[in-house]
Amino acid sequence: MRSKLLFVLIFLGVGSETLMSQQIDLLLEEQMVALERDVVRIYNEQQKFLRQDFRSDNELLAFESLITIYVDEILSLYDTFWRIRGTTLETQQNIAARCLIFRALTYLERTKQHKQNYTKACEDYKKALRFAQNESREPLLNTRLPHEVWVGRKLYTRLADLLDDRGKNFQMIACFQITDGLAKSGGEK
Amino acid sequence: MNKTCHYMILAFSLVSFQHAYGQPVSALYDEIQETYRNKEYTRTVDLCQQILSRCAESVPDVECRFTDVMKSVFRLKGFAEYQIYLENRDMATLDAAIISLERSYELFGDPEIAFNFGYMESLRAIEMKDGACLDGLVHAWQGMLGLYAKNDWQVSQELVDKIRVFINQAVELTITPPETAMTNGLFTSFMVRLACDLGEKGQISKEDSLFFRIYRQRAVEDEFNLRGNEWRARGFSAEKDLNSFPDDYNYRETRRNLELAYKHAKSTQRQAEMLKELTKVALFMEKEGRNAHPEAELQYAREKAQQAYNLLVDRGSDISLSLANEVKRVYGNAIFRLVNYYFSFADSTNRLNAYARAKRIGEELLVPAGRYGKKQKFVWDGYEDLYLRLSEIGYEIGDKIFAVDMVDKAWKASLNSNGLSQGQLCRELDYEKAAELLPFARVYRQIAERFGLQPVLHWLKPIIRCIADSARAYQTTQKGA
Repeated sequence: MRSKLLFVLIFLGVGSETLMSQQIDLLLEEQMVALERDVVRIYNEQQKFLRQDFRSDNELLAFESLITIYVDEILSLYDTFWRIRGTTLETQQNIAARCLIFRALTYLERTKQHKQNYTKACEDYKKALRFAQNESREPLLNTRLPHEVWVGRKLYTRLADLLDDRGKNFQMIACFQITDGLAKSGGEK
Repeated sequence: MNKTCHYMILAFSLVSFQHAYGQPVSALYDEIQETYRNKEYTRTVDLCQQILSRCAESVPDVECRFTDVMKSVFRLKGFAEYQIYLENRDMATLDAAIISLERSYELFGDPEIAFNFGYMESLRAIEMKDGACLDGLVHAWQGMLGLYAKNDWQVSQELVDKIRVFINQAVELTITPPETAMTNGLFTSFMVRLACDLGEKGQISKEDSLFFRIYRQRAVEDEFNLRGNEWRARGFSAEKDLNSFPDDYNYRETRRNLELAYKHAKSTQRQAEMLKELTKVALFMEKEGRNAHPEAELQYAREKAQQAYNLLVDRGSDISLSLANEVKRVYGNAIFRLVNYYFSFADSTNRLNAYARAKRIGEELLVPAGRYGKKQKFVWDGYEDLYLRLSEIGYEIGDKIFAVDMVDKAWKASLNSNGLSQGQLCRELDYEKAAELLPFARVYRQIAERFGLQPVLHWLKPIIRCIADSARAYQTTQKGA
């Protein structure tokens, strides 16, 4: 009788621990999704700003710093998942990868003024591709984005199309053949 | 004796040196916390400086390697320097406070510290009138996001208070400097929207909810133009003060805010609205203001109303119908009041000169109509009075064509605005309308008499009789009541 009670208690203890850990996972994942939404909002806002005549480097830098804060927060959540589970889910990998690409695109807006931004963009892009590397599924760049991205009056629903915009894909491809000269020129073709 | 004295001084110096520099870091650290608690901020900074000097030595105390100790030293130094800044308002002290807190943040990464030095950076930018410095907002936001994450993604009241501080600073920053803002304010507008979203995630009081709603609206209106919206809000608020106390200070304040709102407006609708408001304010000041300068206010009102009307002509489709009507009304009113102003000068100064000026102003609203005549550019509430005044000017200066044209238009306009037809005038006329028509009919008769328009007099006679009868009856009833 006593051993049965002990068994039930152990079972309940293990069960509640699993439930609690699942709840924490869920909360963290919810936050990742919310933060990704904010990253896209910031990117959209920055694009809206770029469309205006009056271009200020301070504001571009502020948008860049803001998106960096969010992406760092997402990467820290991603690391937390990795530390808890020893692995990460596809959704978490995709969120981290997409946000890194958005940050890379944000960096590209200021390569003329700050040459080192191109190196940063390349680092983010390469890291994003590493996160999304999985041969068994459709490439991340071709999948549909969870949030709408507006550049001017054009709506983008895939990262591949967004990268094609204004030849950014060439700049990103150039990251893989990077030489000192390219890095200096900001990857412009 | 001399030697003894020398030794005594040496011994005293040694004791003092021992007291200041001989204490271990741990003792100094305890003392810092004590002095900060006792609000001895200068002493706190001094002691922190001593610790930092000790830690920079080749063989520092072991405490210098403890992150917890060093981050607190920088934190307390930063806060103490900030308190000193609040007393002496010396920017160098504020700079020192920011650097200290940044060092503390580098050591530990406490989001609370990030918020604080972000706040101080924005404060510095506001004080220095450097609206392009947005680092403070970014750092403060980093701190708030960190606090939100630290609190298990829950929004506490403490965070709500910080968000309110953040929004207030963002608004101040977006309107700094007032005349020549360097950035376009889109970033701050976005930050305010982001902050409102974060604030509304928590259980908030009615007051907080209202605060967030108002600021989101300000950030969103007029194509996300927080700067323009803020000046508009400040302008309207100053206008309320002006209405209750119409002195020169309130007037200047209202005008300045509304002019800035106009300057930073992004849409035609907003530009027209601000110009209309400026006209209204100037007209109000001319009528009710203490120590007002009537001519200057009326000329200003006329200029602003004219600009608003030009917008209406050029880009009318961008302006709502109700605003368009208001613009016409204030423009007409401004011209009418200015005409009246110069007309009233005829008693005291050069008569003809005063009438000529009044006529010139009035003609601003006139456009050719038909072969000889002129009509007003638009119909507005009170346009018949302007016609009447212009006809009187024509009468005074002896310009027959102008006077007759204007009085005819005035008569028709007064019939039109009272909803009457000339043919059935005496049958339809009630008392009130008769009282309104009477001055028109009298001026018409005066002009007809002066310029010898016999057929007009013949036609006008019965009309005046029936109007006068009705009006007299009205006046009698009014007196009886």
